[in-house]
Amino acid sequence: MADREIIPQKNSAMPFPAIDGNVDSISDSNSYSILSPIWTERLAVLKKPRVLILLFLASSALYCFVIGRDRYTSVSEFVIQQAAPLNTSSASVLAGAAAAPQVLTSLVDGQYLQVFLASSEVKNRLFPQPISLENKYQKSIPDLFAGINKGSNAPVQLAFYRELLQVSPQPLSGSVIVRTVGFDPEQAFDFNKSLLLQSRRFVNEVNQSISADQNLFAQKEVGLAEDNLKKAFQELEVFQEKFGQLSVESEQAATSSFISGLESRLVDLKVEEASLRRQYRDPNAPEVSFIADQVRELEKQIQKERQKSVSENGRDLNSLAIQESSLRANVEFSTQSLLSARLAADNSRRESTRQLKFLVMLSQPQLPASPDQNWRWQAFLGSIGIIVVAWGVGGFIAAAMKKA
Amino acid sequence: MMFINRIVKGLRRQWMIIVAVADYDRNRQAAGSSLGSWESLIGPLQMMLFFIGMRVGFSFLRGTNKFAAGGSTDMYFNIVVFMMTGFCIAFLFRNVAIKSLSGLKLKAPLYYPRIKPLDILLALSLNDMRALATLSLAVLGIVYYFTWSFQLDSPGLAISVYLLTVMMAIGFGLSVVFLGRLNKWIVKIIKRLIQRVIIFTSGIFFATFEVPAHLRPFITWNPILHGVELFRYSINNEYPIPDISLSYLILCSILMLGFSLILYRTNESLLLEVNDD
Repeated sequence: MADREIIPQKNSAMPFPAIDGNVDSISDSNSYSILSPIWTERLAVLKKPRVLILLFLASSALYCFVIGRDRYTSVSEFVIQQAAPLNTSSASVLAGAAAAPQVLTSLVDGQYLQVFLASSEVKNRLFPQPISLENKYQKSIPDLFAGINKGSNAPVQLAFYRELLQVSPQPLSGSVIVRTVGFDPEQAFDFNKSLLLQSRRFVNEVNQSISADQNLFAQKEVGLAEDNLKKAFQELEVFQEKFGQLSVESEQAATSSFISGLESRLVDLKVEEASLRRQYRDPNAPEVSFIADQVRELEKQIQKERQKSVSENGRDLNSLAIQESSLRANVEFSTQSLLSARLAADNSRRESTRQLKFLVMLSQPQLPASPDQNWRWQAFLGSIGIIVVAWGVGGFIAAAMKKA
Repeated sequence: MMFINRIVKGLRRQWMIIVAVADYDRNRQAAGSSLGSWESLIGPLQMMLFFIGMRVGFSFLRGTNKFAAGGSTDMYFNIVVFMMTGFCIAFLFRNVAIKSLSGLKLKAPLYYPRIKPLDILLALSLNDMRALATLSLAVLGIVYYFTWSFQLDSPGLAISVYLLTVMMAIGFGLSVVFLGRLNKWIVKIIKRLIQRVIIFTSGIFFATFEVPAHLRPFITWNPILHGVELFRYSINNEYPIPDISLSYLILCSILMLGFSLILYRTNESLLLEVNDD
C-alpha cells in the first residue's frame, strides 16, 4: 500500500517512463491504475447470477464431457441356489412350487452378500496392500476428481472401494446383480470376476463352516458315547467278576426251578405221609415217622433256600438281578448312543464336504467394449438439477420469507 | 447466428414473462391467505401427512408392526420417503392437469398483449412445481437428518422425471380441454378420474414390484406410475422397477405436449373458459 501511494508522485514528476531500474514498477503501476476500472467492470459481470449459472454449467459440461475419465462397467448376475436333497425327484431351478422358497433363500443370501462384498474384509482380500488399490485407481491429469490419492487412510480407501461396486439383490427373481466400475475395461472385468470368486467363497464358507461345526460336535458326541459304553461295559464286567460269570437271571431261574422241584417233592412226601397215616394206626410208627421227618426237613430246606436266595446275607438274587439288568440296560443304551452318534457324525462329515449352496451364473461378466456414458449425463443433468432446485426451492423460500 | 440470437432472446423474454406472472400469482395468493406464501406448501403437506397416516394405518390393520409400516418397500425406502416420492410426482401431475382442465381463473395478466393464456398456465404450473419441489426437498432433508443416510443415486434421472411429469401434465390438461369442446362431460369425467382413479393407480401407496405380475398390465398403462417409480429408482438404484420404462414416460410426455400445443394454436380461446364444477 505504501508503494502505491509513493509511485503516483513519481508519475506526476516524470510523465514518461525512465530507462532505469524502476521502469517495470512504473509501467506496472500505470497499467494497474488504468486497468483497474476495466477489471472491476469485468469482474462485476461475474457477480451476475446468470453468468455464474452459465459458468457453473459450462464447467460442469467441460468436466462431464471432456475432462472426466472414461468409466467402464461390467455386470454379472447370479442366483444363490441351494443344493436339492439327493432323494428329491425335481432338482430343477425352474421347479414351480419349490421355486418360491428358493427365491426367498437366494434373496436373503443376496442381502448378506451385499453387505459382505462391501466390507473391509473383502477389500483387504482383494487389495491386501493399501498401495495396490492406490496404484490401480490412482488419479490422473486432467481429471483430478476420479481416483484415489496416494497415502489415503483406511476409511477413505474403503469408501472409494464401495464406490467401485454395486450389489443389488432382486426381490422378484432372487438373483443378485453385481456391477463394477473401472477406469479401463480390464479393471472393471477383473474386479467383477474377483467379486464373483469372493461370493462363491462366502457362500461355501458359511455353509461349510456350519457343517464343519456340526461335524465337530458330532465327533465329540461319538467320543462321549464311546466313553460311556466303555464305562458301562467295565461296570458290568466288574459285577460279573464279583458274582461270577453266570448270569444272575439264569441263576435266579435255576434257584426257582430248584425250589419248585423241592416243593413238588414235598407235596409228594406229604401225600405219602397222609396215606401212611391212614395205613398205620400208630402215628409214631417208624414208616410214618420216617416220611414225616423227610417232610419237615424238606420244608426247612425249602425255607432255607428261599431265605438264601433273597436275604442280604445269602445270595440276594433279586437285588443282584435288578443291578445286573440296570448294568445291561446301561450297556445297551450306550451302544445305541454310540451308533446314533456315529451315524450323525458320518452324515455331518458328508454334508460338510458337499457344497450345500452354489452360485448359478445367469450372466457372466463381459469385458466392456465401450465406456459407460451414463455417469456423464447423470452428472451433467444433476448439475442442471442443482440449478433448477436452487432456483425453484431457494426462490420459493426466499419469496415466502420476504412476504412473511 | 442472428436467427439463433433472436430465438434465444425471444425465449428469454418469454421465460421472464412466465416468471413475472408466477410471482404475481404467488403474491396474489399470499395476500388472500393467513399463511401467506406458505399456503401452497402447507396444503400439500397436510394431504401428504394424511396419506402417510393412511398407509401406516393400513399396515397396522394388516398386522405388520410399526417398524415395517412400508411392507416389503422397507427394504429400499423409509416409509416417509416412499410416500413423499409418490405424492410429489402424482400431485404435481394432478395439480397442473386440473389447473389446465379448469380453465384460467387468473385473467388479469391478459391485459398485457404479450401475455398469452399458455404463459399464465405455465406460470401457475411453475409455482406448483416449486412448492412441491420444496416440500420434497424438505421431507428428504428431515428424513436424511434423522436417519443420517443421504442417498440420491441418479440426480439426472430425478430432475428429468420431474420435468417430464410437468410437461405431461400440461399436455394432458390442455389436450383434454380441447377435446372437451366436443363434449363437456369428457372434462368432468376426466377431472374425476384424475382426482380418484389416477391417484390410486399411480403408485403413491404401493410399489410396482409388490403387484403380482399378472395384474401389472392393469396399472402400468398409467404414465404417472412410471414417473413415480422412476423417481424412486433415481433415489435408490437398487429399487426394482419391473415393467417400468423411461421411454414410455418420455413418449407420453412428448406426445401429449406436442398434441396439446397443436390444439392450442388453433383453440387458444378455449383456455379462457372456466370449467369449474
